[in-house]
Formats: sequence, structure tokens, C-alpha cells
Amino acid sequence: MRHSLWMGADHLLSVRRNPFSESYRRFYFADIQAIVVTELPDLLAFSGYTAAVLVMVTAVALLYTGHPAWGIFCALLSLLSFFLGWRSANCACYLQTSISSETLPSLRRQADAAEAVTQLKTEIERTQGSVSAEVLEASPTDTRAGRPSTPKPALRHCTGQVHWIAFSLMLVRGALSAISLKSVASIPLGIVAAVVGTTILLLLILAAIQQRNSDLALGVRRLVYVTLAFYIASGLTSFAVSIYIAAHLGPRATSQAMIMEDPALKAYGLVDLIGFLLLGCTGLILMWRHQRTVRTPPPIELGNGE
Amino acid sequence: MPLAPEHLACSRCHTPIPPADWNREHAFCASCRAPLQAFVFPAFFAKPAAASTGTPVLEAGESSCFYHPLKRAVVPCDRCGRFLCALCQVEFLGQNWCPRCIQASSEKGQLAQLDPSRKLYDNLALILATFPALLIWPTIITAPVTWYVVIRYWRAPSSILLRTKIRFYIAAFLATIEIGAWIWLVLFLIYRQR
Repeated sequence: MRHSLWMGADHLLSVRRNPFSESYRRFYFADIQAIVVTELPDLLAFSGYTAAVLVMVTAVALLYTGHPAWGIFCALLSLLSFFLGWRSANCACYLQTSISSETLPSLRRQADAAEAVTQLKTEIERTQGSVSAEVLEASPTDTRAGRPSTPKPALRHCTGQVHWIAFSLMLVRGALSAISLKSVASIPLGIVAAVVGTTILLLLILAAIQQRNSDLALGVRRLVYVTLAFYIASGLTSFAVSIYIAAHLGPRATSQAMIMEDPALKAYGLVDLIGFLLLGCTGLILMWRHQRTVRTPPPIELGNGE
Repeated sequence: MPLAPEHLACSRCHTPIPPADWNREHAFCASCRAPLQAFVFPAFFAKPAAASTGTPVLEAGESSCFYHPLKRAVVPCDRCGRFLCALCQVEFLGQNWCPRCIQASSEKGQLAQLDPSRKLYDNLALILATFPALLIWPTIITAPVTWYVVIRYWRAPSSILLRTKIRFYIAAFLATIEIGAWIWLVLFLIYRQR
């Protein structure tokens, strides 16, 4: 499905196209009441760029170690990730008339939206004129106060228990990484680390679901998303490092200890350890601060008995 | 989008945008703190005009509306010439139209300005000519179907955007090659058996 916008002589044409048909929406300049553009977080772009860098590193490693076919495949994959990150939506735009509010899916990048809105504003103001500051200020009675206000969605109370557990387990996971870095990794330690890691991932997903429309602090909510992004990046890095080691050592890898002693794996383990400890500690501190600042109901004033 | 038309709201969290933030270059949503811009135009403050119901015929001999004989005619339709009352008069493309002319023109596909959608038969023909060719065997059916689509919909209204008939030409060319290849294969097998 592709969307595009076309400027007509007296209207804006929004086209939605699939391979077999096109559908049109027309917005006449005289009817357009308002345009709202909201910036969105660039999480998808961040993930795309991170994946692109990691896969490109893998591609270079593969090309360097004499695996051109896989190297080219990874390079193409990296370009694809970069493109997806580059084209991901980072703004949302809607247009309002007296009878409807329509999103404009073609305006999903801030630069495109800014350019289109500038052109649109010019055309609309040529048709309707512009709203002066005086009009905006002088019309509170008949246009602003008279409008029924949409009730703000009530925020759910979230105790944050899942967040507490997830961030605490991240410290445990960091400690396990530290142990495996200091000494030779054992199978039971690896299993425990894997179980803890999976539990953290599930808890983070649960936390991300729970915290929607909740009264949790913005910092905590953002940290959950950052931690999830870190998990994805960490997983991709692990994949890249494994491929690099496999390509680097090749048939020479005769024992697990030899693989574990590889400097690339050590470096990855260190970054992983620092990431888990940093995010876990930050999460716990933010949760503690949130708990402190949560408004508690004022104490009931007792009468003096008179 | 679940918005009452008379409200402005953040596209992300649907929280109403206060009037103080309208027409400002830099503003933030009160709830999600997302940077936003809300541009308001004079139509936002305009009150909807009351619809005219048409004026009744006052005197005998006055022209009346073709569709409402009891209403006084105010203007003729620029398409069919019928007299129209204020209720039936539709200003469209700088002319006065009657509702029936608009409906008829729209049904015939003559009014691109009113079309809510268009079928892209040239794309359909091109897809029929190309994708089945990857599997070879389906082309025994899809190649003739492609030709049928090309002939049947050659004059059908296509996209209202700028678009040439190049897809139809390519589809017809590919379908011809496919049909030719099948005919050659059949003849080859027949002569080989003899």
C-alpha cells in the first residue's frame, strides 16, 4: 500500500494505491480547518541504523576472512536495514475539516511534512486568509470555551512490580556476565544466564504493555523501551560476534575454551556486562525516585473534638 | 481517528491541544510531551451556514423547479438546462449543476473530481503477464487473460494522476510472446511425433 499527496488548483488530493486500484480523498482548501503535525520517537530508525551497523561489521568480517558470498549477502542486508531505518515514520500528520479528521499517511517523515505543510499553508491562506493573533485571542467565548472538551484519558495506576523485578534481574544478569568473564564459563552458568535473560526479556515486554496509559514516570517508561532496544542490539551483536569468531577460527576451533578466550567475545561480554549493570541500576534508581514522588493522599485531618 | 471534528488533538496520544499552542512554530503535547505544530485556519472559526430549503412559488406563471414544482426556480442547470430551485442547485466546478447530472456524470466516469477510486487495469494486465511467467505453466491461461484485460479495459478510465498506457503495451507484448511460445511448443511436439 502506497500513499501520496497531490496539490490541485483548489484542493489537496490524497491517493492510496495498491497494485490493483487507487482510492482518493479530496480536501478543498476552503474546507480545511486545521493541520496538526506531531513528531514521533525515532525508535524504529534507531533500531534500523543499529542493525545496519552491526550487520555491516559482520559483512566486513566475513569478507576479510574469505567468505565473499556471505559477506555480500550481509552487506545487502545491512543496506536494507539502513533503508528501513531511513524511511521509518518519525511524524504523524492529520488534517481536519468540519466533518472529519483524516490522517495523511504519506507525511510520515518530518522533512516531507514540513515542506508539504508550508505549501499547504500558503494555498489555504490564499483561499481563506490567515487567522490573526487577535482573532485567536478574542474568540474564547464562542469558539474555545463553547467547545466541549474531550476528557483526558484517565491514567491507570501501575505499581511497577514487573519493572522492579526486571531491573533487579538485570543486575543479576550483569553479575552472571561478570562471573563468566572472570572464570571459564560452565554449562550450568550458561543455562542460568539464558533463563535469566529470557525472563528479563519477557518481563520487559510485559512491563511495556503494562505501562501504556499508566501513571508511571516518563523516564521509567522510556528506559523500558531503551532496554528492549539494547536487548535487540545485544542479540544482533552476539550474532555478529559468533559469525566473526566462526569465520576467524574456522576448523582451528577445537575446544570451547578456545572460543571463549577469543578477544572479540571478551569485548562483547564486557559491553554486555556494562550495559546490563548500567540499565539495571538506572532503572532501579528511577523506580525508587518515582515511588518517592508518587502523590500520596493527604492525611485525614482529625477534628479536635470540640 | 476518534476525534470530534471541532477539536484539535495530539496525533500521538489524542490529548486536546490547548488554544494557546495553536499556530505556534514550536509547541509540545501536554500529555506525551511530543513536539507538535497545530495550524488553524479561518474555516475553524466559521459557523456552518444554514441550508436553503428553497423559496415557494409565489405567483402563478413563475418558473418552478423541475424537481420541486412548488418551489421557485432560481437558476438553470448548466448541463441539462432544467430549472432548479435553491435546494437543487449545486455549485460545482464553477457551474450550476442539478443533482441528477452530477449522478449521471459520476456513474459514467466522466467526473474525475468525484471519483473515490479507480481500478488500475494496466497494472493488472502487467502482473498477469509477468508473475505467472516465473512458473511458466500458468501462462497458458494467464497470457490469453492478459490479452482479454488489455482489449476489454483499453479505454477504461485509469488513474486520475498522470499515467500513460505503457503498461498495457508491455503486457500485450509479453502476452503475445507467451502465446507465441506455447503455439510454437505445441507445433513442435506435433511435428516431432510425426
